[in-house]
Amino acid sequence: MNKRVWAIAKLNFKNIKTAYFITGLLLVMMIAQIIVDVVLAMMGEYLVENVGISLGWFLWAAVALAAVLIPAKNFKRVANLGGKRDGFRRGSLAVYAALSGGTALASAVVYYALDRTMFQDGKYGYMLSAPDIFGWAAHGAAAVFFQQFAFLLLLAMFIHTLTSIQDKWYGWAADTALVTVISVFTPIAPLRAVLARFFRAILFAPPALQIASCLILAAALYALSKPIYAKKVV
Amino acid sequence: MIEFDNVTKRYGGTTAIDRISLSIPDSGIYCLLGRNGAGKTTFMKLLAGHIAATDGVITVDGKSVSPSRMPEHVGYIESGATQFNMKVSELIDAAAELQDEFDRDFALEMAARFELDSRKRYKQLSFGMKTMLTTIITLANNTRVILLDEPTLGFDAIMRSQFNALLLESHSAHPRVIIVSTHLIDEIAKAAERLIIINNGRILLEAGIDEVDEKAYTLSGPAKAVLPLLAGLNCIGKTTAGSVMAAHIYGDRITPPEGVALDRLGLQDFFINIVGGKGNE
Repeated sequence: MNKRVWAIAKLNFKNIKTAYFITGLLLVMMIAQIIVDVVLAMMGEYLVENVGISLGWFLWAAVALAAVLIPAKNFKRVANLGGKRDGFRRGSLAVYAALSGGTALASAVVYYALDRTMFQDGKYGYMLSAPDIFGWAAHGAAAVFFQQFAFLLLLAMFIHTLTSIQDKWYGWAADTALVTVISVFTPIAPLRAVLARFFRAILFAPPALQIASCLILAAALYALSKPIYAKKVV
Repeated sequence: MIEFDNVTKRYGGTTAIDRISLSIPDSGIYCLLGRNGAGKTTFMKLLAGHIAATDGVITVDGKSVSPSRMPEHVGYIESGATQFNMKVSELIDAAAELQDEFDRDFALEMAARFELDSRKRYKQLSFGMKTMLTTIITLANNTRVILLDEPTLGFDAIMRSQFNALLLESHSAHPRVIIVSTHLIDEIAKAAERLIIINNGRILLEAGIDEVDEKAYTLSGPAKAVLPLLAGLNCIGKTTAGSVMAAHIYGDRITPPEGVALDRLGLQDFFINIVGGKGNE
């Protein structure tokens, strides 16, 4: 990574405090809820149906929020400091890769240290966690990390690209197209099958296919951001 | 260095820039003057490649400029540009990391001279100080063309004077084209060398400020003595009070007859008259 890209990555890391704050707040709220549930269970107040949402999901908020804040707020300020458009794209990608990696790692730790230990036998309730739902855990700890990393990177690039074009007519067209695709494809069986194949590829497929699908799509979105940023008004 | 060749910019049915042709071959501080809505910001955004021309060609160093080919060596800062809420010193360091040719020493020296507290965060600075910081960061960048859109908006008289000093210091340290859009012509005249007046999207005048100062004058005296003198002169406006007339002229100075006074018009009055002020005819 060259000096300028690293400088933009540092600026982006420093200036997404809202993402850190909201993610932290969500985690604190969820940890408080888990503590209450555990204490109630220890007091014999436990409900058999008690199913919670794993902390790992809430860590994803940091990646999603960063991908909104970086193009929406940081681009103009990086440009005002003399940063170049291409450097901004690379610096943003570096941040998403690092955040996705960090989040995937933390989420994997939460999964193995909490979801799979405390909440495995149902004594304190059960946890709905991404590695179980998407089947990543069936392929071992490395798959839990890498599959989650690849998906989060794709998620970040998707949100980043969509946010970057909101000031243009084609941004609104893309929003409309997304809503249309979901609302039209879902009720029509053959189209629903297409949608299902797409989500299977990026979430449920075996590790190699899922990781490759996510990374290829993320790379395509990154390539697409070049013409978008070439025309983006500071 | 900079060429506008028959450039037009239209927003729907509104023509913001109307067939402008202009050449800026040399480095210097240029004052871009015009009324609100005259086309100053559009002119700068076209030159920075932020918007596309409807017709015509803009080149910087021989390379065509457009949103898909933004010139690397043109820095544009709009009025009210914001920065990250970081300490002044951190922002200068970040700019130095982002730009290969950034003159960090110049930026720090200017920040100290203009009493910008390097420990303060951006949001703790006054409006004027925020603008001053952004201007310092922009001027410390050694790009070949700097465009400053209404940089003195919100400045008090002392800050405006400091700003002019900053422009001169910067240009002396790093000669290049600096184009400043403003309404305060008399103040920027202390720093700027050339004047570009834009009105209704067209370039009305491009000349040296000293030349304008020399050529813009007023003939005043009895109307019956002043009126005959106007034949063959470029009268840009006149006012009459009773039998006394003041005619504002742009052109080579004449030797007035006895009873008619010749006075310097002043840049502000020149601007008011040439863009169609009250006294224009």
